[in-house]
Amino acid sequence: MKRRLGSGGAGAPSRRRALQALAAIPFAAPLARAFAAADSGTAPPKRLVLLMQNNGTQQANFWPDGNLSSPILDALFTGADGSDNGLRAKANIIKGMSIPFDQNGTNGNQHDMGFARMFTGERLLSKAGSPWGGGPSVDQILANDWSIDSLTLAVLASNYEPHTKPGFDHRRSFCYVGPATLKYPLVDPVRVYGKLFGSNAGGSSVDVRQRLMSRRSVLDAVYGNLDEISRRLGKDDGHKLDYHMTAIRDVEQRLSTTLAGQQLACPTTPARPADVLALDPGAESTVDAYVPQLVNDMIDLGAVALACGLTRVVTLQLGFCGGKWSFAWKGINMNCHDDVAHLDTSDEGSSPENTMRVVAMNTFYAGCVARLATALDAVPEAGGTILDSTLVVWANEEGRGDHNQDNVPVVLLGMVGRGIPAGGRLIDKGKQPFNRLGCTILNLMGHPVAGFGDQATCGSFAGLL
Amino acid sequence: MGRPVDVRAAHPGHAAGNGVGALALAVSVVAMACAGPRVGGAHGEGAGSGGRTGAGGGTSADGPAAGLTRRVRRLSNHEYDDVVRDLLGDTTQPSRGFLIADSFANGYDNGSDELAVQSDQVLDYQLAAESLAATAVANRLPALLNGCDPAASGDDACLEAFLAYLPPRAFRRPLSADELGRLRALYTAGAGTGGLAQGVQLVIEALLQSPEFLYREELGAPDAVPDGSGRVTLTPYEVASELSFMITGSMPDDELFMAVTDGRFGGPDDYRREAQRLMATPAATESTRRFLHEWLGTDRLADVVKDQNVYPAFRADPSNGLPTAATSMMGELDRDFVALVTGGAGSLRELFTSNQSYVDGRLAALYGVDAPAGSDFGAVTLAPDVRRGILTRLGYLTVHADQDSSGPIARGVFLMSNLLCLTVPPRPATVPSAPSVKDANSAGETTRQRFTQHLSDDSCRGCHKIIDGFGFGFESFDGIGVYRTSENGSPVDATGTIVGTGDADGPFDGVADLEDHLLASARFTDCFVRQTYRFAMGQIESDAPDDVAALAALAQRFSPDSRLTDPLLSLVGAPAFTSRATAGASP
Repeated sequence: MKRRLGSGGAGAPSRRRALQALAAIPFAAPLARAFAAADSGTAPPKRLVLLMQNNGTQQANFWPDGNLSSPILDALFTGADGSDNGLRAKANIIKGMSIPFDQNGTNGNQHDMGFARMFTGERLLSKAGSPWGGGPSVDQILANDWSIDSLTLAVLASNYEPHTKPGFDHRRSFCYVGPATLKYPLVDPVRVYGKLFGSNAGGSSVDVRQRLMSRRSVLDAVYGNLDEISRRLGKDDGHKLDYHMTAIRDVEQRLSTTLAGQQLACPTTPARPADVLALDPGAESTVDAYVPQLVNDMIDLGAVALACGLTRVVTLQLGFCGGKWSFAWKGINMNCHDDVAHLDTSDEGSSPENTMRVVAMNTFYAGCVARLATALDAVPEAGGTILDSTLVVWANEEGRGDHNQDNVPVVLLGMVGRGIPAGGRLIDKGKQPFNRLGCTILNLMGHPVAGFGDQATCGSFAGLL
Repeated sequence: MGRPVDVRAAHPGHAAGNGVGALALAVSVVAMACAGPRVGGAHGEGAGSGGRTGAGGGTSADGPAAGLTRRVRRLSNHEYDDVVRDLLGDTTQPSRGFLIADSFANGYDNGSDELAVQSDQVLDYQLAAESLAATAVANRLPALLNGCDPAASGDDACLEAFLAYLPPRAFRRPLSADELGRLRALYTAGAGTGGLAQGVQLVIEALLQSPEFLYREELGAPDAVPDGSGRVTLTPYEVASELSFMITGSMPDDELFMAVTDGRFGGPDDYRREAQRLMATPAATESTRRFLHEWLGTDRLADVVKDQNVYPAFRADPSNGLPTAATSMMGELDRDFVALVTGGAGSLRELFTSNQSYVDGRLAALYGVDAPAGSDFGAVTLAPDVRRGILTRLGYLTVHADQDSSGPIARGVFLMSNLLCLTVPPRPATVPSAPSVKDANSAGETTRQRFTQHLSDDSCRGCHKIIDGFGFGFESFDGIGVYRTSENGSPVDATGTIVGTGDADGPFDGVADLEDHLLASARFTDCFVRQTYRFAMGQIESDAPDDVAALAALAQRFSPDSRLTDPLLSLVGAPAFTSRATAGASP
């Protein structure tokens, strides 16, 4: 099964040549299965990108005017050189999404309700009072559908709070493989790079082959044992082993693909990201000065992984739930994002200085989303670009930093003409339950549903599709 | 094959819930009185301090607790390191490269609930297994073959010697014929390319990735039939494993393993004998040291961040390779805990009243005592009234504080949750941030004065009357534990009132006095017993009869003058230790 590359005139032949040359890469085993694909006439595969931000937006400076312009959104639609990057026409902005206050027996607050529920939809699940998401998240549902390994990324360093708040371990990730079971993100770009592009195994191809076959035998044995134990367990822990077995099967599948000679190569293997840990051991935990670089690295790796067909699902979490980045790199010298955002107690803002800070933080996030979307929009595919077959979701755990959860901002990029009828729109149909986001995503990605999470018939966003 | 059949199956959640019973009344009193704001740090969202409560909160959406059910418990990261050390002599601590740090669902790093293996974690274990196996075969093949010499006895005989020795220790039980058969097949595949060594290496790779290695089984025998109440008894090997990990944090040693194999591990007397023996080992001391750090929240000292302008003495100096003062503070506590366990009475009373400690030059300056001779730590007697007990140690006061001030809220909340097992309820929708110490309006105020809104505002008072009652008692110590009698020009008031605990209630003045109140409180000693139970069982106690009975028995025998580790020794005889409910059985 061959992967279908972007078509497009003069570019195609040189891509083919590059592929042939790169097929000799030693054990750079990409980690996705081949897509059902090949010839023209088959639509490109759909892809999903989720970006999760904390602490709400600055309401008055976010919602756009008739030109789809606002101080914060302009940062999304403007390229690094100051010119329009063309994303406006591919954007749909939803106003009115709302998250209800529902602790459901946990000691979670609005951060948790937004973060743990946004992409799982279920009511919070209590484990000894701590809040957790109640089911698998959309990215994992789709990874399951598509039998692919998703790329789950995060940048979590914080000066202010290097670990999740005690008793709130769920705040590490908004991705769930199942009820109260997180999909843990990768936080080290060097490791992500290694996962995507492999490390040089060395040795002859015979040695490599031998190694892979041994590996597969070992995993077969391990899998058999798991199966036995799983059968003897109750429903609770049985699930745990199911995830383990799934993970082993994924690895085995990749091995088999590689051994069968179907390994795919990325046409342009990117440069290895800088190793910030070598510069500062706290760079991915207690020191957040490296956040902008880490975010850029993760975005670039995610974009490449999608563009090369190494995955179809990428999620990027920007800070632990609760958002404690210091934003010192924007010249802000307050405790952390959360503290600043808490002072934003009305849609119009609070003090001019603080409102400016909140806007500055949000324009940073907008710039991150722009970087990712423009990278996808730069790769030709099927007469358009990869972005046209990708749904990029920029979401937020809250609407406003003081925990208000009305008008939680949602920005959708992509899929215009492939499920979303038009772009360049602000859609305001009043209050809509947040469950419609997950419903919309699944429907657009070819997984038809009538509702999502604890709203079985909520449907997709009104006015969008 | 492949994906879980029903990924979206509703999941009732593992057995959890705060303990009902004798302490319930006190808990609910606190809950009802404290109907106001959530607690945690400076009202933003919680400053980076405090321990892990793991404490139950209100009604749980996960249904009636079922007590300890049949389960598997994945090795925590440190357990993994200790096990490969004991099994293979490897001290490289591979888990430091693992994707996921330990989770603390029960308040400790061995909580079984959150320890699963998914996606990228499989690669962690795979890479570690391959590396460990290669190293072991390269460096220790004779030991792995249990003394068999292939040159003298032949490969086949040494294979058998290997299979008789290492796999049972890796799986912590004998293997079935089928399991051995699978390993033989792997050996054959490996030996085909690289001889005995390669075959053994492949088997070790498989062992280290097998669920029997990565998970501790608490399932009962494969053919066990549940009794009338739906319970199964754990096998002696499973009990041995449980006992060993509880006391030493690692796999059963040879002596324990042989005791089981030889039939000398059949009942509570045998269990106690082995438990006593293991409790005297260095590994047990290390495990207790780790437990105390996690209980008191001081394991996170290394991550503490302090405002450099407010606390220059805490600052690191990278140009000189000088870490923050937290490193020294950790050193003091490590020595305190080890001395407590190996030296003196080893009791709560000693822990909470001793003024003997260990300081290096940096700590001596912070304590205001003479620096020890030389550059290492030296024993010291601290001021008897001010620096009495663990709650007055720099490390404890530093980790439970704010970045730029003493953090009475953080101190109060932690004490309530981890030392008194009180549930701290959640906050309502919107609460204003507490005034920052940097706020111009706070100039000239003490910390206590800054928080006066707590007691004047109806919506704050309910909870903060309790929290602040504890927290302000620490005001004689600033955000890095330095003693002070005035703050911002005003005298420090370190009086407090204990509320809502029952027998510990009443006024106190200063931390030493607070510690005396705690030591006189049954709630306090009961909470400690609860904490050790959570540590031992790997999850929060439930209200199932087994848990309730076990806790009651432990609490009854425990006093502030008992050894800290006594509850663990007592526990090995309890039904909660040696049997499990099957899923769906009535508790």
